[in-house]
Amino acid sequence: MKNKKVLSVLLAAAMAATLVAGCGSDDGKDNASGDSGKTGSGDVTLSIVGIKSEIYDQWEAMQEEYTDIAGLKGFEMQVTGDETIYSYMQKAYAAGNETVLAMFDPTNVYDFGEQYAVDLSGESWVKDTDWAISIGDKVASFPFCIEGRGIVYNKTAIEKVTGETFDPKSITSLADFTALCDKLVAGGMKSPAAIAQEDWSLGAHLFTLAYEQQDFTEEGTSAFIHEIVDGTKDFATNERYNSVMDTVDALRKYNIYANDPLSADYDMIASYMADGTIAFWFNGNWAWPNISEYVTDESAEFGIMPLVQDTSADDKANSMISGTATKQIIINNTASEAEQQAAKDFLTWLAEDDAGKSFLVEKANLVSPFNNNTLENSDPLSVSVKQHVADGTMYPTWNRAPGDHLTVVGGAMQKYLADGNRDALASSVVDYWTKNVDKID
Amino acid sequence: MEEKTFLGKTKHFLMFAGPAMVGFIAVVIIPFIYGLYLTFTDWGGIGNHKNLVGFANYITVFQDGAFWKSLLLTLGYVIVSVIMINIVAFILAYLLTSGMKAQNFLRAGFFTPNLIGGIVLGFIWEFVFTRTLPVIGQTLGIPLFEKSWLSDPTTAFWAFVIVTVWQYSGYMMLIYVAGFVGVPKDLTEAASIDGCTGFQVTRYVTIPLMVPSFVICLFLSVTRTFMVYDLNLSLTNGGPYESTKMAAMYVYQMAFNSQRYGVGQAEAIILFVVVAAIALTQTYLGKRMEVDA
Repeated sequence: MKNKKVLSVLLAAAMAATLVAGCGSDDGKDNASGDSGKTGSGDVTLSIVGIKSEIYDQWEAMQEEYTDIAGLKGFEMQVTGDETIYSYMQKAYAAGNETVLAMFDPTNVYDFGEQYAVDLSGESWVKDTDWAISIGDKVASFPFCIEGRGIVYNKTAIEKVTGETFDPKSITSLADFTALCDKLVAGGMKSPAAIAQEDWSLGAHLFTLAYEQQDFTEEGTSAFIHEIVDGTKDFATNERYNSVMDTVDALRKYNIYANDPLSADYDMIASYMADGTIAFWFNGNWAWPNISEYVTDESAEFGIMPLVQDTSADDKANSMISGTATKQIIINNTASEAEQQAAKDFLTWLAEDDAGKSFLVEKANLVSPFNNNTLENSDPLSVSVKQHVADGTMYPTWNRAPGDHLTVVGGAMQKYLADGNRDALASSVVDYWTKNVDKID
Repeated sequence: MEEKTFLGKTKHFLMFAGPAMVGFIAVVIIPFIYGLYLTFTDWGGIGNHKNLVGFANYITVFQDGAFWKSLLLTLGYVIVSVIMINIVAFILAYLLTSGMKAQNFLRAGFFTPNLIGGIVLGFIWEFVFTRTLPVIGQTLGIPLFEKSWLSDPTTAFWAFVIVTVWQYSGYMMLIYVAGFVGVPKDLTEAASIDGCTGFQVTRYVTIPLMVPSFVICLFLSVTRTFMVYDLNLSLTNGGPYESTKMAAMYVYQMAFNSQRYGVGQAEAIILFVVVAAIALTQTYLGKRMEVDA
């Protein structure tokens, strides 16, 4: 009896101890990462979350290199997994274990920046870019890379089927586009186009053109949203909305998944694009890693052209693609002074040091948002985007849509792909904005 | 005899249940109460600005037609899935306790889907529904499979049900197998001697003695299907066009994507009340039907 009692006390104590130890060690970790910067510059550990998944490997290699260069104690990268960066950060802020740096989509900079971002206006790289996001007087973020979206084309495949040289600049209206598609069909390419069915592609990339191209400015787009909500403008009969959807209809018609548009598979489309089964895919330069996996003919040429529409020839929509600095890095003001300084040094290195510039363009294959970075990209879609930037044929993407815009409007677009009901689509869009207009200014 | 005094009892209780209770309170009770508090605020999910808004969030929830639609959809999904899971599981268990060859191997086989996580399972079946079946359908000319099941709301719903049944029936089968094995041999033998046919033995002796298994299986399948999220996410992601968005996913998106934390939390509470009410009623009614051997 006595022995049993002693044993049970011991067991209970052991369980209680492990429980406390479990909590304790977590606290310890938090403190370690939170305070490590204060002990001295050689002891600073930087951390970042939200790296574009396409460049994990390159980023990790660069991190190691930079740790040696700057004499950091460490540089760690966290991944969000299946979660959105928004909900990941929400939890991190609530738990007080946020990283020193965070790579955001522009909309998240507006979400978190006012409260958490360190002001970067004193940094030397600010003068070299137009793409940093300012909130009030403060420069809240460091622009990481520029991405553009439009119709991705396979030049080689088009030329092979038509037997003529293909110049994307010669396609300046929907009529030109459909004429070319018909020619491709006649030449044996059964379905020359594809539309991805992912809600982010449909809702955040394709459909937002109908807002952005009202007057091609961010302020104008926000104002337009207010106007369709308060009834000053009727969305269903809006000229731009209908001309964008006319082109979407053309894409639906030539879609390789025309019979069952929602069964479109992103990787399959990438492979069709690479081997020339299809010639056009509405997407952006981030699709290159997916496409390049399947490219067998190294000399094949690709590029991005505007989503041309049935409008006048001088319509900007027929010559310009939409693009912006889609990834923005902020420094959290909850980090220690030393960590903030180390993070600032790191950003300056990325923007100004030759090794940093080379990482962005040559290793990670991204388009630099900095004027002083003149290195050449090697992937054709990035080259194409860069060309649009240089030619002044890229207008800024409107990136103020709330997080659920892409699920709701993306869902409505999926429905449109299946049934083609334009009025239903317009009314669900207006419906969405009526409920959410308070989230944009 | 210190065990007899109140203090002694408390001491004993804490010694054994204390550590688990601390954990339970820390990860279940406190977050629950805090969550309840958040339903009365206008918190957006970030920042420290929280204003008490009374019952405004609940009023919003009651006006939010999409939420009730998704709850109704979930209810339909639960009813269909629970019935199918339990029928399939019961038949499997019946067959696999009737002394057929390789029954242990088959039991393990049917149980395996349950060992694969919902996310992985969803991706596997997504591949089957969008790539494999259409190819088979188009080659053999079977109209039912020519299109991806996941691109039409009706077939997507049934695809979702099928995968759910596939996932859980093996697990429930195991509980029914235990139920079958637990029925005393002497009772079934006595019934046979009294002239019962095989069906009558099952109907009047075995099933009444297996009521505890039914209660457990129904409880587990009801609560699990009501709270489904992982499979929903990886199989259909709420699509096509949000037609298979179950309540749990709706709540998550309301709180995190739409950034209306208070409203999402209030919906979660309502979901909790509905599930608790259904599960408890069912267990209570089931318990009354239990008989002693």
